[in-house]
Parts: sequence; structure tokens; C-alpha cells
Amino acid sequence: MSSIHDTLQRESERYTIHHGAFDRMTRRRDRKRRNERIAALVVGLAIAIGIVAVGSAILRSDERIPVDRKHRSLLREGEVLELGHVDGATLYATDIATGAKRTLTGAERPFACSDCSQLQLSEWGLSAEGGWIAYVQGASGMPDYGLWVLGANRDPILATTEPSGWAWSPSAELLAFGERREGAYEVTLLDPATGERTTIVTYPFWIAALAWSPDGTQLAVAGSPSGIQVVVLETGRSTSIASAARDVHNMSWSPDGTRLVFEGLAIDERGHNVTEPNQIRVVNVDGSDDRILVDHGVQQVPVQPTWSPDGTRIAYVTWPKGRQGDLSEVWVIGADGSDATRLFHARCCLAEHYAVNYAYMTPGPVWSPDGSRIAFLDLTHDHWLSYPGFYRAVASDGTGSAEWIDQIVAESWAQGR
Amino acid sequence: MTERSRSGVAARTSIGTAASEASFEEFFESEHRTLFRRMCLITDSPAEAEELMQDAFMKLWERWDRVAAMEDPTGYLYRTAMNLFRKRYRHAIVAARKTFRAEPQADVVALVEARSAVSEALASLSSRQRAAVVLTDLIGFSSEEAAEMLGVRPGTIRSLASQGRAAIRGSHTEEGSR
Repeated sequence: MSSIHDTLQRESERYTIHHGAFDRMTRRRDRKRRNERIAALVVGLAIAIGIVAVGSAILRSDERIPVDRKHRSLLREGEVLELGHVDGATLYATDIATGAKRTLTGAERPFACSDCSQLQLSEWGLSAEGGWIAYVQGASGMPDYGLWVLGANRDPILATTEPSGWAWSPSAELLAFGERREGAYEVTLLDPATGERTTIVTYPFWIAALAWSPDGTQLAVAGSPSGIQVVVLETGRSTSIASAARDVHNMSWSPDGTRLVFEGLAIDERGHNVTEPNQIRVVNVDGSDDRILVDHGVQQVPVQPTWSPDGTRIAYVTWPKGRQGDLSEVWVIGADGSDATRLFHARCCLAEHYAVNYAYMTPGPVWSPDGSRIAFLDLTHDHWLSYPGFYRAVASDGTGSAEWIDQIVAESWAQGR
Repeated sequence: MTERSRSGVAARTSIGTAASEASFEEFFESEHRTLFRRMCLITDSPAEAEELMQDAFMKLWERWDRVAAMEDPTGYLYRTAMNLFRKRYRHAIVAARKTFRAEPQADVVALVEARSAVSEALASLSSRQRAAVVLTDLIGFSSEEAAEMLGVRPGTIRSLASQGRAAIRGSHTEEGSR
């Protein structure tokens, strides 16, 4: 069977463009310039009779985030960071036990946004010691888009307007992020307390994902076209591994720091995707033992692998393709590929748009701190549109049935609080 | 070296004020057919594809001295084309133009008569599904790059592309049984 690439290539070659394309484009350009000159005259007239164009302004709150002087963290003990939406996105500190919410500033909006009622946050995360929050605001092409960092008594710091993967160090208040600069892609470390930035490495390819080693001494960097780079921060030395996979994402280190698990697409010797969809793969950090851990073939798409706290198992979900009747599943598998067990499954009952728009909203399956249970977002029931954030938990040994849990419990597991 | 970067290298070797116009025309000649064909797959309309192709090149032409010096002018061309596609998609111009243009109707009719199982499968997809699978599987962009071009999340691209691949795989089966 031809690869998808070859099939599309053959199909595209059925189209032909008429001779003289450059001349047609030139004539169109000339027409456009003529129209633009006319439009400029109209605008000039409008200005002359007193119409003034108003540019956009960035609104800033005069409120600062109050410092909880008893703790170094923005969050108090027993609180988790939660996203809310009230006339635009905002972040709350929520008490796990009581559900009580506390805004992080006296005003609702600690963010730098020109129209905060339209604010959207797509990703966010707390630093290792809880003193800072990194978040991605807006969408590419929109005003104020970028990776920002929020701390106590500070204006938000713009890390980059061209974010390309980011992650907090697990052992220091340092943020690593990829960004596009002048045609190349850099991995930069930001110390938000001092504003100091250090470029670690520069690559010619797009950086898709970053993952810190548990001890904070190495970074795994995934980008196009394929493979993973493992960078030792102290030396900047970079090792290429996992070259048989492209479109690598959702990578994470094993708790003992010796292996990486990730999603990827298998590629052939020409670098083209093979027909099968996503796989979950593991590889030793030195590049050895690079193998497929999960491949469900064309029936299901395995995504979002997550290590158990003891590093012996990996949980993942399989993806509904967005068609009615498709299966959505939660699995756990031994890190050596043994004992694959399906913990939960449900028939997708919703239309295509839900999978397209809401896939990857969650951090993936989340292990409880003792590894006995796994929480996951269940979008297969009828009421999720009214109550986003429905989580279930299931025993990781496959016993019992899945129970509904509060989102705040799943968030506390995910944030390690 | 990918096919995108080979073209980029060819463009960069001929920059210079006196050769700027000539280098742009050389770049156009080397890239426009491929871009047109790929936009045909995405838009399912040769007329729409040619307009998007022209508009993308015109934007590059306006800043050619800067673009020619980039590491990957071809990548920039595709990002520009997809940005234009995204704007059109949002404003739903496509449907109106397909209805009221006589010239593309002839192209579309001719294409329908000659449609293969693969093109039928592609036609059954939404524009974004076609864009996702063409950007990732044919052109070779990562899901993150494609996501930025279409203004969606990378996970959305992976979902869209998966649906596109499923439809194309289904057309292989149908083709074999014809």
C-alpha cells in the first residue's frame, strides 16, 4: 500500500496550472497597487477632515499580586492552580479540601492584555517552588500572544512572542523554552527573578517540546523533522536519539532519569510517515533500546503517555477519531511492554468537532501520588459541554470500576500538591 | 536535506540588489507549481488555489530582499500561503466564489468527472482536515508548525490529520475493489 505521502503526491500531480502564471501574478499585483493608491487617497482625505485612527493599548492592573509572607509559593498549602473563565480567562488558587477559590491578585486580571475580556490561556504551569506561573496567552497572530511569566509583586514578564515548547525546571526557579529567532530556533533559560536569559543551544529546526530530567541537569528537546536531542545543560553538549520517529511530542523522563517515553510517528528511510498512526515509544537517554512500546495499528491512536510514580508502568489514553461509535480508552502497560491492561473504555457519542477542538485539553492520564489510581478526563458522556472538566478515577491494577472525582482532586495529583 | 530546504538554498545563492528581481522570478518558477498543486489539495478548487498561490508570492515579493536571506524561504512561502488560507476560511469566502465564478466551474466539473477514489475521499473532508494532512504528511511540517499556520492547537492538527489519513486509507481499499 502506498504511503500517505506518495498518495497525496500523485493526487497533487493531477492538477496543472496554465502557462503564464508569473505574468498573471504581475498583473494582479499591479491592480492591487492601483487599488491601494486609491485607498490611500481616501484615507488621507478622512484624516484631513478630522478622523483619527486609534491604535491598540495594553491595559495594566495597578494591583500587584500580594505576597503570602508565610510561604515562598504563590499558592498556600493545600491549594492548587486552576483556570477559570469569567469574561476571559483567569487563574485561581483553589483550596483542595473546601473548593474555595482565591484570585491571585486583588483585581481579576493580573495579566497584560489589551482586551482582557477576550483573554484565553492555553497552557500554564507553576514553577518548582511555586514562586512563578508560566502561561501561554492568546493565539498566534493575536495581540499580546506569547509565553509570559507571573510572579508576586511584579508586572508580567514576556518570555517570548514566538513560543515553541516550554517547561519549568524541576529543581530550580528556571524556565526553559524554545523560541524562533531570525530563522533559527533557540532553547533559552530564563531566571524570572533576575530577568537573566541564557541561550543553551540553537537548532535549525522547529522545537516542538521540552522535558527536563528529574534532576534538572538535562533537557530533552524534540523538533522537526525527527528525533530528540538530549542536552547536558552544564556543557551544552547535545546527543541525538530516537531518529526513527518524527513529530515527537508529549515526552517525559522516567522518575529515575534513564529513559524517555513519547508519542511519535514512525518514518521510513525517506523520512516519510508510514501509514500507521501515532505510536508510543521508549528510548534510553543514551539512545539505546529505542523501541515501540504501544502500537494499536489503524484502529486506535495511543496518546499522552505518563509514567507511574515508581517508574514501572506507563498510563496512556487512546484517541477517539471523532466519529460516532469510536472507542475512547485508558490503558496501563509495564515500562518493559508487559501486562498491557485496558482500564476503561467508552463509545464516543459526540460529533467530530469535539475531538478536534478539545483533544489534548487535559494533561493526559494522571497518577495518584501512591500510584494506586489513575484520573482521566471523560468526554464521552452527554453533559460534558455543560460541565467541562469531568474526571474519573480508576484503580491502576484494573480492579473495580471508574468513579467520578472532583476536578480539583485530579488537578492536585497533576500538580503534585 | 528536505525538498523545502533545497529550494531555499537555490534562492539564497542568487540574492543581491541587481539580481533581486531575477532571483524572485527564479524562486517563483521553482516553487509555484508545487505550491499550486498542494493548495489545490487543500482548497479542492484550482481557482482558489491559484489566487492563494499568487497572493502568497505577492507578499513575498514585497519583502523579497529579507525573505531571500532567510534560512528557509520556501517555508516562509508556505506559512504565508496558509495564513492567507486561514483568513479566507474564517470569512467563508470560498463558498461564495465557487458559486459565482464561471471559470472555476469548468475546472471543477472536469475534475469531478475524472475524480479518483482518493480525490473523492479528500473532497469529503473539511478544508482544515485536508490542510492538516497535506501540511504534515505531504509537505512535512510538524504538527506544531502546522498548528501555528492554521491557528489551532497542535493536538487539533494531529486529530485532523488522523482523520484525513483514515479517509485516504479508506480510499485505497475502495480503489482496490473497483
